[in-house]
Parts: sequence; C-alpha cells; structure tokens
Amino acid sequence: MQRRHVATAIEIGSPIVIVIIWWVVTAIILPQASATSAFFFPDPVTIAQAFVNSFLGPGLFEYVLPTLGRFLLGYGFAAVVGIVGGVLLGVHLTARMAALPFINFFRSLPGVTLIPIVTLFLGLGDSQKITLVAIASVWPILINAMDGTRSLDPTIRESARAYRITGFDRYRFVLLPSASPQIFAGLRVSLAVALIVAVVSELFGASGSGSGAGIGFFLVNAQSSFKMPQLWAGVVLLGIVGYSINGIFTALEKRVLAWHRGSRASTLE
Amino acid sequence: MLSVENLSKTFESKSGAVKALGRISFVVERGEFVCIVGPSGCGKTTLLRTIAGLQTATSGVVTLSGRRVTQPPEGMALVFQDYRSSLMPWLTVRKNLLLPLRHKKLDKAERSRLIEESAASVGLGEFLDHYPWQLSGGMQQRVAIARAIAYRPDVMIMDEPFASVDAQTRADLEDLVLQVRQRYGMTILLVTHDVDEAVYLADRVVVLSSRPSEVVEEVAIAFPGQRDQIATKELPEFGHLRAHVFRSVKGVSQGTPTHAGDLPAAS
Repeated sequence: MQRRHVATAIEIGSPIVIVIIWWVVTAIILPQASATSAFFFPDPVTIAQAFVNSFLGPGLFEYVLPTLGRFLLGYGFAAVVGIVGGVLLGVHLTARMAALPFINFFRSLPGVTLIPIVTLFLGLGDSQKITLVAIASVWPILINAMDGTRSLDPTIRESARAYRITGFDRYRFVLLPSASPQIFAGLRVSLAVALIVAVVSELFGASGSGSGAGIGFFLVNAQSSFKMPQLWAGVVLLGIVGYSINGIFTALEKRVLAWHRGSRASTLE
Repeated sequence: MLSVENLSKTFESKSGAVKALGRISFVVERGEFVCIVGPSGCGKTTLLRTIAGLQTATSGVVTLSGRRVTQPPEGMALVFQDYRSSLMPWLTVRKNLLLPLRHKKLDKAERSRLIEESAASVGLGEFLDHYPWQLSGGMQQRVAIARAIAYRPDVMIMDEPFASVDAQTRADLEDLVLQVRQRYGMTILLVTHDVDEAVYLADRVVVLSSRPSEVVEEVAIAFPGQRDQIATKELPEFGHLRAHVFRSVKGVSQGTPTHAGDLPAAS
C-alpha cells in the first residue's frame, strides 16, 4: 500500500517538476542569455495560452477532431479487417500459404511511403488519410490474429471438436477468445502506427474537400510562419492525445483480457 | 451400445510405421461402466481418441448406438486428463457448460435447467459464475464432468481423468463418478493406468497388452453392496481381482484360460 502511494506520487510529481524546471529556464534564464533562444523555446504559460487559443475554440473542429476522426476510422477499419482476416487465415492453411508472401511484402513497407501513391488515386481528402492509416496499421493486427489463432491449445481444440462446437460458435467462443491476448498485442502496436500516419498524412497538405485540416497541417503551418508557441502547443497536444488513447486502450484491454491475467496468475501459483 | 471391432491404428513416421493398436475388439453395453487398463505407452489414449472420432482408424470399425463413428458423434461426451486446458478459461463455468448445448435443439429454460442440475450434481451449484482458473484442480475436473453430464450423452468417455489430481481428490472424484453413473444410469468408458482405480470403478475391466496393443482379457467385476473406498477395498475379492488384473497387465501368465467367465467368482 505504502509503496503504491509513493509510485503514484512520483508519476504525478515528475511531470510537474519538469514543467517547473522548463518554466524557470525559459521564462527567467533564457531571456537574459539569448533573445533568439527565448524565441524558439517559449515558456510554458505562453504555450498553454497558445494551446487554449488554437485547440479549444474553433480549432477543436478545424484541427483536433478531424485528425482523431480519421485516426479512429482508419484504425477501426484496420482492426476489423485485421482480426477477421487474421483469424480466417489462421484457420485455413492453403489461404495462409497463398497470402503470406503478400503480407510479408506489404508489411515491410513503411506506411508513409505509400503516401505518394495513395494521394495519386485519392487526392488529399479524408479518404486518402483514412486509407493510409488503415493500410499502415492493419499488418500487426492481421499477423498477430493469424498467429494467435494458429497457436490454439491442442486440448482446447480437441475439446471443441469432441463437443461438436463448429461454425459460428467455434469462431466466436473458441478461436477468437483464444487468440485475443495476441490480437491485443497487435492492436497496441498498430495504435501508435495509426496515430503517426494520421498526423504525417496531414503534413503533406489538406485539400478543401476534407472535413478539416488536422493537427499535422496545423504543425506545418505553425512551423512555416514561425509561430513557435503554436508549434510547441501542437506537440503537447499530440502527447496528450497519444497518452489518452493509450490509457483508454489499456483500460479496454484490462477488461477484455481479465480472464487471461487471472488464468496466468493461477498457473504460476 | 458402443462396439469396437478389429480396430487397428498404425502411425506413419520418418523412421517407419509404428503400430500402436493391433486388432482391438470389445463392447460396452448400455448402462455399463467399463475401464481400460494397460501398461504405460500401450496406446490407451490413441484408442480413446479413435473411439471418440478424433482420429481415424487404420482399419476396423467403431459403432455407437448402431451408427458408425467417423467423427465426434452427438451422443458422446469426453473428459480429458488435462482439465486445465480442456475448459475454456475465457468462459465462466456456466458458459463452459452452455457452449456444447448451443447446437442442441433445446429451449432456453431447458438449457438452464440442465446446466444448473449438472453443476449441482457435482457439488458446484454455487460456482456457476466463477471462472475455471478460480477453482482448484479437483473442482475444475468436476466442471469437466458436469459439462459431460449436461450434454446428456449416450456414453461418457474419460481419458485418465484423475491422473493429475492429488490422492484425496482422486478418491472423491472416483466416488463422484460412481454417484453420477447411478443417478443418470450413464454408460461410461474410462481409461486409466491405475489397476486399483479400474477394479474399484468398473463393472468390467478390459486389459490391454503393450504396443501394438491387443485385448489380453476382459475381467468382470462385482462386489456386494455399494462401492466404498474403504469397505470395498478391504474385501478379499477386491484383493484377488486387483492381483489378477495386475498380473494380466504385467504380462505374467495366470495359468488359467483368460476368459471373463472363468474368473475368480465375484458374487
């Protein structure tokens, strides 16, 4: 109990300490030492003001929500295709043999290298960005779902066969849950990839046809017009977004895989 | 009810063919409790898997209620040795029992009744909403038995079901299976390497030889009154039958023709 309190205190305390140090350096030391540096490294209060002005007003709809929306759609699409496709490929040997060369080819391509090609076909709108996010993040999910399904415990497999659990029931109550720990591992890897690609795809520009410019576009814009507080605010925003998404994901994983942690803990006893 | 005729199984491997089962024949009548014993590595599990339709025989036929078994049949429920991984750890006890019933044409109320009744009959009525891994090994094997009961099979097939639990739990589970059998009039085929267990549980013991295994003999078992861990095992007949089966398993000549009818009388 005592130790846990200490851990929580450190987790909350360390960012506060960092911000204080940052504030001392940028607001007190830097302005006296060098005006140029002070311009490039604004103090936390200025950044916070830029953050509020840029992202909590109309900016929420122009930058934050469009990026999140495209990220969620692309990632959601990748999750569905990856899980369904991966489980099916895990079950069917012939299909797996046929698909593996393609999977290994496409997964070794960094997602962002597809930007020029996808842009050529889909322009700069939402569909281009959602497609890029989906293509980049589908592979870890697909491969993990496939491997997870293949590694079904032999006794569980026999047990399901002996009790004639076939068709939908077999997928829903045997194969999918059995592969779920590995599927979640894939989903977690893809989560970071999807966010990166969602933002990077916006660096290359946003057209009028989209739902909004997005955080990536905001960053490029701030950089080219030397709006340093805005640029830093964008970075902070991305950090917060990533942190929150990861938190939500972890909570979901804890719920869905509660049986897995419990069962592993009981085996280790 | 369940009949095995001239069943043989040969595994092909790189180092040549390995003959696991050589022409095995026996019958399990309705309501009978038959135990198969044999020396370790004699292919008992191979035999069970073949009977259960989990693997194909090289030759020979298995029929259940007059129908040839080529894949796991409707009227058969299995209890595995490895209880830890025969139950689904992601499902509660209730859902573990429900899963095999989903493809049976039963209404919801009937399913719930079957599940609750079979859990109660193995003494786990209170644990339906627990996960298997929250239970002890012996309790997990009870869940596996309850799953088999709820399935209402023509025959329950058990593969060394008590080999992975401690001695006390083992005795409890043996008596539980006897109770279940009496209560439901169930037909049971159980494989074990433990001669005492086979003699204690069975109406008839089928003794297998070492690989390629064949039926050495069938020993009819009967004791007066209810079977009891202490009283039954104290009976002189128990000692005789146990010794007889033991010699048979070890391949020691008995000096008597090996026919079920010629056995030491067990009244």
